[in-house]
Amino acid sequence: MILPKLKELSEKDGFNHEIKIFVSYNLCSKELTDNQSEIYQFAPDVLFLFIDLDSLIPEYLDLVKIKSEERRKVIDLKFSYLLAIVEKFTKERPASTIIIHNFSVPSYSPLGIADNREAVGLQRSIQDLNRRMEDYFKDNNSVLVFDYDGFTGSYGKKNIIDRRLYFLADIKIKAEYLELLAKNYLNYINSLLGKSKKCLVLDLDNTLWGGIIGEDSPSNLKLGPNPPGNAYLEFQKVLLSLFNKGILLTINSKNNFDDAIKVIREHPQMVLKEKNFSAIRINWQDKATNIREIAEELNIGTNSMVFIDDDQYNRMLVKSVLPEVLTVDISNDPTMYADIIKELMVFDTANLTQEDKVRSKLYAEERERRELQHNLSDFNDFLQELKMEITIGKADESTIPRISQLTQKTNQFNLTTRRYSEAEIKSLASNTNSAVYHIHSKDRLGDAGIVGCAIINIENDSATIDTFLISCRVLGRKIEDALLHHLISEAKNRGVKAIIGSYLPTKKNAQTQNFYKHHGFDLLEESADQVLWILNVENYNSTWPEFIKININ
Amino acid sequence: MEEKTLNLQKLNGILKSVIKISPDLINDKTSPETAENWDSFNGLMLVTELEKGFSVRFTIDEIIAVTCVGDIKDSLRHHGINI
Repeated sequence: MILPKLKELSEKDGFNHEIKIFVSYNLCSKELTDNQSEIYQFAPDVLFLFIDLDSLIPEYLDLVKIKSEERRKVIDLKFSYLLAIVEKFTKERPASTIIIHNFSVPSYSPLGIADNREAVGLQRSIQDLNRRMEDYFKDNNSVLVFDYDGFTGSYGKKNIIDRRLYFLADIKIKAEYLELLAKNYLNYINSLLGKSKKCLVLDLDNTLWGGIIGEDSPSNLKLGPNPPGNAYLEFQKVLLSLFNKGILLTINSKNNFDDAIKVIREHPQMVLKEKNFSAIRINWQDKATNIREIAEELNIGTNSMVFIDDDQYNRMLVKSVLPEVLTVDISNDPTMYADIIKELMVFDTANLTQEDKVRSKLYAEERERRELQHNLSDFNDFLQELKMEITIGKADESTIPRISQLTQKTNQFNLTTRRYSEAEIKSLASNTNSAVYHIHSKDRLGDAGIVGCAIINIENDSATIDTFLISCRVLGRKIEDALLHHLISEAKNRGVKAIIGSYLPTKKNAQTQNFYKHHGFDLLEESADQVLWILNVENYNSTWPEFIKININ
Repeated sequence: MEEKTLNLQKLNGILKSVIKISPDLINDKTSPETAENWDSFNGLMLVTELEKGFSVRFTIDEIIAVTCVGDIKDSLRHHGINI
């Protein structure tokens, strides 16, 4: 009954395993040792041997009557029985791999608190059996021991069994846990097939630390011994342990490179250091393109990558553009981040070499940048799928507070960084020589509200863009293109011949320095604290980004 | 809608998802003999899903006693479900 689950899960994984899997649950010894039985004839590539303690040692409770010495003998006998089954099978079917369960150590012993005071108590005898299996198969490449005791322990031995189903039909695991067992099995299969994941792609803000670099000062980021910073600290420790076993760590963040790398280099609580990252993408291009670049730079397949990002939009993008990447749905609850990673079960290999363990270090040391081609066609498809709807309107009573707030708070995609109070916006909006626009965005993920604004001053046939800004959380969706296009069209309708756009550089707005240039403006004047661009409106013939539905209020 | 109708719909929904049987083929006489996918394993899955759906817990005797959809309804009524 676990096979269908396994199949379902592995198909969800995106690859149809062309290997034969057999799961044997408490098969009697005849079937396991008879060459003619179904299991031998099937000749599975992977055989999961799930033998229950109840069926291997039905007399468990009777062990109470005998001495430690004799318990040891019973365990010897049972162990030889297991060995005989396994060895017979591997001899007849040398190409098969056997994954054998160890035994769930009962939490009950009739000896009670005295159980661990005997040389070999009842529980100890089962623990010893598990230990012997581990030792015996340690160097055997065709037999792996699955830690079923660890599995039942982690979900709760009492919890995973429904006694009614057990007595009715010998069902040891409730359906909901069966799926988790299948996930554990899949981990073995993937590792045998060399399909384990090799690389983690990590977001920064609200993923490696709490808070947003663009909005908070480094000292306000949540990372350190105090809650909730301790949750991020723990998450980083788990990531570092994966790095130390050979998993590549990479960064994929929408930020100003200088600001973000400064935190990585200088924040005293960072567990992960720059040297732990094999590839770093801190920029403003879309995250799927970044992942492709990272894959190419490290020369690994995108199907061996795991993407971690707290932002639903980025996860949707990567899921839709790069479905082969494992995109993990982390919630916005950082206290669960470490556990989510621990429970992924995708980074395992059956044997770890010393080379494996230092591989991530080598990659990180050899990190180098290459220019890569951007494949934007798929990205446009994604935007199309988002069904974006933009509304552009002029400032009014209800929108002025938000517009003012945007001018106060927006640092990154802000061409001039001019701050305006509500009263100032109000006066600009009522002035016939200027216009204040706001832009509102929604898509099938939700309504983002007012995400940008622009102020333009018009005098006769020339106009100046005083303010142009877009909230950084919606950047990269061409919303800025739509706003600029509208601005230009309206100016054109009013008879404007030339539009001047200015860029006032700040520490945070470097990404906007070529914005006007990319939209056909020519350089007019350049100095250290101001760059002016000019557009001849006659020559402007750009169109709407066609995948965005635009409403004009 | 009436509580009874809602509960009946819920029951049919569970039967449909576990036994893969179309609601218009379900009646009180529907049983493992007449429904192809109602094997012993799915019978137990049915128990789990019914318990989740109606927030009840059946005894092992009740589970064993069920032979058809009519029996399921009787059991549910016994647990105070209006169906």
